[in-house]
Amino acid sequence: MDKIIDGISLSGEIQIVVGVILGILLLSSLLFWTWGIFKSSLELTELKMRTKSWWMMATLFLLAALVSPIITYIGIGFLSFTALREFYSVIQLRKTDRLGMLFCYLAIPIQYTLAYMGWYELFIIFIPVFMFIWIPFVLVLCGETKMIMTSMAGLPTSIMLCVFGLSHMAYLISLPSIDGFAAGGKGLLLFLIFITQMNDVMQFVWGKLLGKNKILPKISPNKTWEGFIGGMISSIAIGYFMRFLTPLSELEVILVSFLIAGVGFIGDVIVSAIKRDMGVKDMGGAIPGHGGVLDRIDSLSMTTPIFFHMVYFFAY
Amino acid sequence: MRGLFLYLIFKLWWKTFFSIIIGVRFIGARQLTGHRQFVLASNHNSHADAVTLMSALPPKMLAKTFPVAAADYFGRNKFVSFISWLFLNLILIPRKRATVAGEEDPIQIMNQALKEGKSLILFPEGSRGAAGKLQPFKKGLGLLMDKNRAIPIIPIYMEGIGRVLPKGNKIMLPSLTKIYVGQPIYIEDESPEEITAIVEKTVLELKDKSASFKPKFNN
Repeated sequence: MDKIIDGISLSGEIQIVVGVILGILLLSSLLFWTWGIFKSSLELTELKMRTKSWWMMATLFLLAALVSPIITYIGIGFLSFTALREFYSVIQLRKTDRLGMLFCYLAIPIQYTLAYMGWYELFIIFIPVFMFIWIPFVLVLCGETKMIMTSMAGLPTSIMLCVFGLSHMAYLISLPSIDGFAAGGKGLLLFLIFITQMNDVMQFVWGKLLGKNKILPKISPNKTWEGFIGGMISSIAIGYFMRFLTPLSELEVILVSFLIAGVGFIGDVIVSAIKRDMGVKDMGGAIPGHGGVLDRIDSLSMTTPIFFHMVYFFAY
Repeated sequence: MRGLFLYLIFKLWWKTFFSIIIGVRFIGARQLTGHRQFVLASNHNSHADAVTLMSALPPKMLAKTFPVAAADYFGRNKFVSFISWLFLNLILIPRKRATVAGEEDPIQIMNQALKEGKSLILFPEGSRGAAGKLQPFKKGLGLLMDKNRAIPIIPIYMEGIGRVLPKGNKIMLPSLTKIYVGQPIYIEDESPEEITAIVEKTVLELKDKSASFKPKFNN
């Protein structure tokens, strides 16, 4: 009960950022709307769809943050679940892998319960150690060895990508409070999501403006060096000004923002490569304009653990 | 009373479960509204098929819509057939046409139901097939609709539900599923064979429509 009441108050820092986010959304909605009156194009439709999804996500985050932290745990857990479901809907698995898949789904409530309890030692090894042993064993018990190597690799990867990484977002809220740092776990969460997503947007914007030299033409033809570097510099700048959401020093924030931008790119191209292999363009289609949940959280699933451990190392 | 019970299990429980947990989405579900009576003709991949389709029906159609299933499986004993009726609203038919007089005939049973004003959910492929492959439709559909020409046939293609609960598997898993509901087919003066062919063609067209998003899965 304490935790529920505790969550209703938002610190001043978070209020400012939430205000800024809503402002940006309002501004871009207005901009695209006016733009649409004069000239409509396919790209604009995509931008509009993207903004619509952002509204949806911002509302969800606000609801979760304002009403109760428990909703945040359940919300992020459900995000993991939809991402995993999307993943299994496109990757090729054998019929005998279904029991293994079931256990992968069951790992979600366990991992998020551990995050809620704040049991760090078990939280951090449950998937990389215990599930890494258990899932291949289940596959072996099912008795089919043909192509078992693919499944032994694919299933643990699927939960590392969709569950382990994202669950660190939930654990951010469980981190103990630090004296003189008011924004707390919610501030860290907001910082992480904001920088990761702004990095995506900035990469897109800089790529559209200046993009010439492709980084990985075979995997992600839209990714250019100009976009990547522009996005990275923008992310560092934004991160620097938002550092009041974190307990980090100026230099540390710059390093963390730099890593978020770099690792976000890595997550993005890893999921892109999987999509290319499976011959699907968009993962699913749960969020309009975003392809699917996994397309949106591909960078988050990699930036979250990196960000978490950087903060853990510097501040705790 | 029966209507309320079916509403609770299909609309409140199954509809919620399928949309949130399994990830089922209906495309064109409004084609199902505004009919007094209809026959749904769908492809068949899994035991979850009939339940999913029932959950998509307009509430007032629930109590008078009956999925048609094989008596040798869903009626293998008194208990199973009671459960099939109670929770699934099934009508059971034998797999083979009657050869001697007095024997139960599948077409006869279905025809009787339609004449009583009931609606049916049919799987014209006969039995569950492999995911993503459509088996040739049985001619019974045409023979039945030949006798009930005023009733519209609504074609349905379910994409991906074979991965929710595949044939020969007991583990139900979430998987993104899209269910395409086509426009109702009104029979004019086609022969029974032509009726079957038209419905099969329409379901195949829905399948092609679904091909823009095609997850692969090795069964």
